[in-house]
Parts: sequence; structure tokens; C-alpha cells
Amino acid sequence: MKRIILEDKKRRLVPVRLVVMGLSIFLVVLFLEIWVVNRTSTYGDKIYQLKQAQAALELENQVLSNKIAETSAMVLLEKKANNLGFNTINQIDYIKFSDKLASAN
Amino acid sequence: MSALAEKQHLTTSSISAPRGLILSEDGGIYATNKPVYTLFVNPLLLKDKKIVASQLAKIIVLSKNVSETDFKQALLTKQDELSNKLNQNLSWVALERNIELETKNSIEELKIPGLGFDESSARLYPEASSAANILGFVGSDKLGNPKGYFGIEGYYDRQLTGVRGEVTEEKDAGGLPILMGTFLQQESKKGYDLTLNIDRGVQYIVEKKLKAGLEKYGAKSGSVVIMEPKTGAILAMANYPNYDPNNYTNFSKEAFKNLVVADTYEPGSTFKTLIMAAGINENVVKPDTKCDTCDGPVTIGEYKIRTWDNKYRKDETMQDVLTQSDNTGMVFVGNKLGQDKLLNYIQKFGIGKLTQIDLEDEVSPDIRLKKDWKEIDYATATFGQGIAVTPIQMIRAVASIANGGYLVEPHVVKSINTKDKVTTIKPKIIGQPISRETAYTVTQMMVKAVDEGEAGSYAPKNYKIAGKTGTAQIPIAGHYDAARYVASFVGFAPADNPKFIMLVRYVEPTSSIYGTSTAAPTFFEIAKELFSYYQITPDR
Repeated sequence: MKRIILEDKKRRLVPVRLVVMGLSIFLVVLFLEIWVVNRTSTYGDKIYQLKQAQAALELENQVLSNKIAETSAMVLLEKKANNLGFNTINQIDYIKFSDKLASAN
Repeated sequence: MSALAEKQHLTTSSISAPRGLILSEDGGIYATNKPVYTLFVNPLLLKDKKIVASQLAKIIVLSKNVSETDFKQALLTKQDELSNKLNQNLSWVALERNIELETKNSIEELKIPGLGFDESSARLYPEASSAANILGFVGSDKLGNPKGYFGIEGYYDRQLTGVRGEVTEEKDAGGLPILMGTFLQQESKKGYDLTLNIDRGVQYIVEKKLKAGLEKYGAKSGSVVIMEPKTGAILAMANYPNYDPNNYTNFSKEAFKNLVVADTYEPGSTFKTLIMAAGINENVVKPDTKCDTCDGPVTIGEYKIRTWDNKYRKDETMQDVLTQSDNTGMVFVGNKLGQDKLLNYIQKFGIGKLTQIDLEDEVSPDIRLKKDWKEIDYATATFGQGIAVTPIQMIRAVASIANGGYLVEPHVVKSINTKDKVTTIKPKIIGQPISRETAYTVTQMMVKAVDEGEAGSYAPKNYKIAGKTGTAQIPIAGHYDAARYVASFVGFAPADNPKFIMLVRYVEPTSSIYGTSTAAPTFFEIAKELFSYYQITPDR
């Protein structure tokens, strides 16, 4: 009789425990979300700064690439070559290998 | 209400998409993008507008590289302009557009309250006027959006233009983004990059030689086009007069025209190579066939067809006809071919049709309808008069002789590149007007024409070069002007395995009217440079 009453009490307690556990998890998650949102609510400034830094770097990249392209222009390269003393090759001598080899007897 | 709330804390901004780059075959940059700025102001925040106008005018005028003589006037004009704008009772006024980064930095150093900058992008052509007629330029359309005009910028405008993106994000009261808030992004897509077949070194050599030739021969204009005959790849293309696409508004519209694809002319004797090839292909003549009507001028109706030097050679061979550039000998070939076949071959060589080259503003002069051709028209067409072509049509047609008889489609772009993929433009064969054997035969005839002809004195002796000179009168209002000519030379080398085919053309040279003395020397000067640039060893 006592055993039956005890088991009956245990059975009634199981749903209660489940509810309590579920509620606890829910509260923990809720608290966690509030804490995260609160922490990151001021990150907007950091995001803005990162975006600005990225834009500045991309701009610098573009400006430097353009400078390289302009200083590599053919007109300037010719001037530099002339200043360094490079001349146009007027005559190229080609060496042609002959089948006949010199031989000494 | 919720929509109103959303409107308050959600902001949508556009992400710009950079226009694709145009690169040379050697990895150089022909067209790229640079940041430019629109300077705006809130005039209501300014204290002394006169001083502000003066300070800004000085920086802006200095940035425009105005000459010393014009500086004072330009400064006063700009000051007045800025003063008028600053005196407007508005909270936002655009003061100056397309300001470069350096100028923007100089203005920012003034620390004038109420000034701000809107960033946008403009095109930069680092090689300035080099390849300008190939590239075209970027202007604006009716709505003020960037649009490519002429050349590659025009033809590939859709591919080069990127797709703008969009970002919608939640912002706080201070205008800063909320990390955990709504964030929707559509990525922008950069325009495709294009790599050309043009090598900057070759292009530069060609432009230098053409400019020198233009001055030496006193020509009104000139053009050179070089193509790989087997693939149709355009290796170089130059025109004078020229312009700088960085400042295209400072040049007249005439300079934008690419003479190679958009100018028509009567080709003269260079056309003889095509008609001779037709005759040989049809087996109605051979290189040693003798012309029995070449002992004097040929009479057709009221017209007399003469040789250029009024010298006539009885029983001259077809080789001699080409070497001596004999008009009467070409009429002989035309008669052997017959009118129908003559017209058919002209069409088979692509004359009268667009070449479909990937440049905006290509034109094609029409060939008269068959019913409108008179006997004299057939006769003059055999030596390239009374028929109009563009230089690109001419070089493509002669390239079939260099390419075993096959006609190819010319193209400037080598590949279209995205982040993940490179699409190479493959050579396209359009047709085969002549057989491989005919192509070989005519090539040897053209080599002999260079070796034994008048132009041969300019040719390098250790290379086999196939070529033909051309000197054609310019038609004006239905008749030929005896004082105005187009001098040209078309040729390819090395003759047995051509790496390049080139057409040089001078319009109205004054030192000499003949292609032999003007276009041919320029051709051979460029050819010598190309032999060493491409490391082509002598074949003699």
C-alpha cells in the first residue's frame, strides 16, 4: 500500500520536474540573450570603424595600383630607358648552326 | 505604424560596383578606376562666403594644370562661380564635381565647416592616348549613369559595367549599425575584366612609327593595323589624329573615330592580290600566264584604262602584272574570270560585310547591287578603284592568303575574366574563299612583288615578306580628285609561316602620292621592329 502511494507520488512529480527544468533552461537562454545583446549594443561604433578602415585600405590599394600603372606607362618607360642609356638595336646578328663541322685531317 | 517605425531605424544604402579593368596582353593596365569626389556644402553654415570661395577656387584651379597665362582669368571665373553657388539659400549645394583625391585632401586641410564630399568613381587610362581609338572612353548617358562610347568601352559596356549591391541594416539613434539587428545584403558584382590581344610594346612601336611617318610624308591622317592571320587576334591598331580618353571633352568628335573600322577608302592596287587570287583559284590564269592585251591602254566604252607609269609590256606574265602593278593586266584577269565570278569572289572575301570585330562603330560600305554594275565598274574593281572598303575588311581579306585560304573573324579581346573564370575568345573561321594551293601560289607571287618591285629597296633582305603597294585616288562628289590619294601597303611575314599581317595607310600624303615611297617604308620599319620583338629569326 505504502509502495503504491510512493510510486503514485513519484509519477505526479515527473511532469513538474520537466516543467521546472524547461523553465530554467528558458530563463538561462533569455538571460544569455539579454546579456549578449546588451554587450553588443555598443559594437555599432566598432563595426563603423572597421568599415571605415576597410574602405580606407581599399582606397589606398586602388590609389597605389593606379600609381604603379601610371609610372609603368610606355611613354615613361621609354624616357627612363633613354636616361639609363638603353639604345635601339639596329642590327641583330643571328647565329645559324651549320650541318657541316670543321674537321682537321 | 510598424512600417513607419521600420522606416525610422532601417537604412538602405547602395554598394557601388567597380567597372571592369581593360588589360593588355603583357599584363599592363589600359583602363582602370579612380576615386573622384563631388564637393558639396551647406551654405547656411558658412561665415565668410567670399573667403571660402577664394580658398576653394585657388585649390581647384591649381589642380586643373591651367597655363600661367590663363591662370588669373580661370581663378576669377571659378571664384565668381563658387560665390554664386554659396550665396544660394539652400542647405545642400554641389560646388565641384570629379575632384581628384589629392585636391580633396587639400580642401579638407582647410577645415571649413559645412563642406563634405560624395565619393564616386571615374575611369583612368594610365597609357593616356596610347590605344585610345581601341579603348574608347566612358561618358554619361541621358540619366547621368556611366556609359562606354566607342571601341572596347562601347562594345563591351554591358560586360564591363558591374551590378550595384544593396545593404539594409538597423541603425541606432546615433546612426551606428546594431550588430544583432536586421541585416540584409545583396552583394555587388564587379564588372568583368577584359584582357586584350594588344601588347603595349608593339602598340607603342606602331604609334611612334606612324606618327613619325605622318610628319615625314605630310599626310592628313594615317592608320596601321596588325593582325595575327591565323587567329584574327588584333596585335596593334593605331590612328592619327588621336586623343586622350582621360580628357576626351578637350578633343573634337572627329578624333574619336577609329579609322581602321569606321573609315572607308578605295584600296587601289592592294586589291589586286585578291582578284589575282580569284583568277588563280578558278584556274583561269597562272603566275606564268601571258597577258595578250597588255601592250597598250585598254578601252572600255568612253574610258581608257592605263598603267600608273604609262609603260606597257607585251606578253607580260601575271607575276609581272602584280610586281609592276599593271592595271591593264588586272583587267585581263577580270575578263578571264567573268563578271559573275568577279563579284562572287569580292563577296567571298568579305567585302561589303561587317567583319564583326569587337569594337563599337564599325561600318561597312555597301557594294552596289549587281544590276547597277557597268562594264567599266568591273574593270576598275580589278585594281581596287570604284569599290570601297574599310582597312579592317582589307586586312582580313588579304589575311586569307596568309592563312591557307581561310577567312577569320578579327577580335581585339583575348579573354573575359571574372573572379572565378577566364573565358578565352576562340578564333573563328568565317569561310574559305580560296584553296590552300592558291594561297601558297599567291603568297610566292607577293614575295616576288616585294623583292623585285619598287618597294623592295626598303625591305629587310633576310626575311621573306609578302606584300603589295597601293595608291588610289580619292573620289570626291562623283569624280576622282587628281591631287588627292590614299597610299597604302599590305603585307605579311614571315611569308611561309606568317606571324603577323599589317596594313599601313596614309590619307593625302604630300611628300609623295605613292604607297611605294610612303606606306611601304613605314611597313618595313615596323616589320623590322616586330622581327626582333617577337624573336623571329631570318628565313633567308
